[in-house]
Amino acid sequence: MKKVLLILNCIISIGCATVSNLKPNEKQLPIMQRKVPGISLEEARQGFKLYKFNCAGCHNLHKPDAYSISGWEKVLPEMLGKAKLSSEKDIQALKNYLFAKSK
Amino acid sequence: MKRIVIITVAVFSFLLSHAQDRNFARTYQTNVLSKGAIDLEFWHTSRFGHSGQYFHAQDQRIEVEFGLGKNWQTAFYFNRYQERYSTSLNGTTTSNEIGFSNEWKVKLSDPVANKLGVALYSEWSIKGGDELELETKLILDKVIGKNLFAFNGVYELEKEFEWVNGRLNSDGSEMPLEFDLAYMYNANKKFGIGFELRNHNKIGKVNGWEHSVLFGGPTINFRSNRWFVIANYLPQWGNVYKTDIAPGNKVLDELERAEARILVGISL
Repeated sequence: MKKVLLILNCIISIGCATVSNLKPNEKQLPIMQRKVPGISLEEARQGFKLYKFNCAGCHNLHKPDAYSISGWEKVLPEMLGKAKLSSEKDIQALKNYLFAKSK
Repeated sequence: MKRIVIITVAVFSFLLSHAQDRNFARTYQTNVLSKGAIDLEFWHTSRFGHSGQYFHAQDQRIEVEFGLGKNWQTAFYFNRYQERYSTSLNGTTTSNEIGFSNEWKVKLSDPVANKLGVALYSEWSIKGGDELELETKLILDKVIGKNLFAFNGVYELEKEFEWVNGRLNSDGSEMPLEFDLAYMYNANKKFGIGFELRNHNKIGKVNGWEHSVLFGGPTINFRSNRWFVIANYLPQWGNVYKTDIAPGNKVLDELERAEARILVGISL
């Protein structure tokens, strides 16, 4: 039983280790700010969290750099309607995250 | 005619919403519905082919899934089981049962945003009023480009009750252990083709490990933003753990020669 729990713990730990290039970090901030001037690390992280929670329910996530800003602008109007985001602030945070990390 | 028009309108109105991105007929993925989203799924499974006997079982399920937020999801199933089998050279018998199930799923990590998608799943069922089942799953998946890989480790606890000599008795429990492995190549946004492998192990309290049977077959899925249809055919390949209870190359008394499943999902 102990062995099973140990294996389970290892799998969950590996699984939860976030892929670094999707979660915004301080090192990426200057590059992100070039695409979205004024974006803060906190806002980018909030956008990432919203993207993970609200978009992966219907489809597998696309890597943000799979699209350019104009590509995301085409996709987002339809998708944001389905993402069930509660406030304009959340919508903006999600948009800014995707734009900042776009191709 | 009026009925057909009503059904057609109802189906098309369902298609205007967004269904969850499910890819496999048997193997579960880690994705959960977002908060407030509701999905409806219709399942049909045909199981057929026993040794020396005509056998055809049809299992139907209607499932309603609810996204609860914070990566949690629950679902309720209404199940119908029908078995038709030969009892002699000239006759067949049909048995019918109904059941109810409730599942809970929590997603711990994402198959794209994390190194590995991980989810935990639990489902309890009542079948025919005299059978209780508890099923737990560890779900792992990973998306690499157009390729999706998924693995389920499934542990079940089944307990059957019967009325004997004026008392409610349990005739023992079974603990099937199952491993599912699946791969899907999503050729485009609307079509995917892949395969699913299923390894079913029967472990009884009295007889211990009785058999380990391998199934495998193709799965295809079609989907739009608003619905999906998944079909799978799963023939039995063989028994890889022979015992005195199951000495044959295949297990064709408790399990079937092949299974076929079709699944339709729409969002409410």
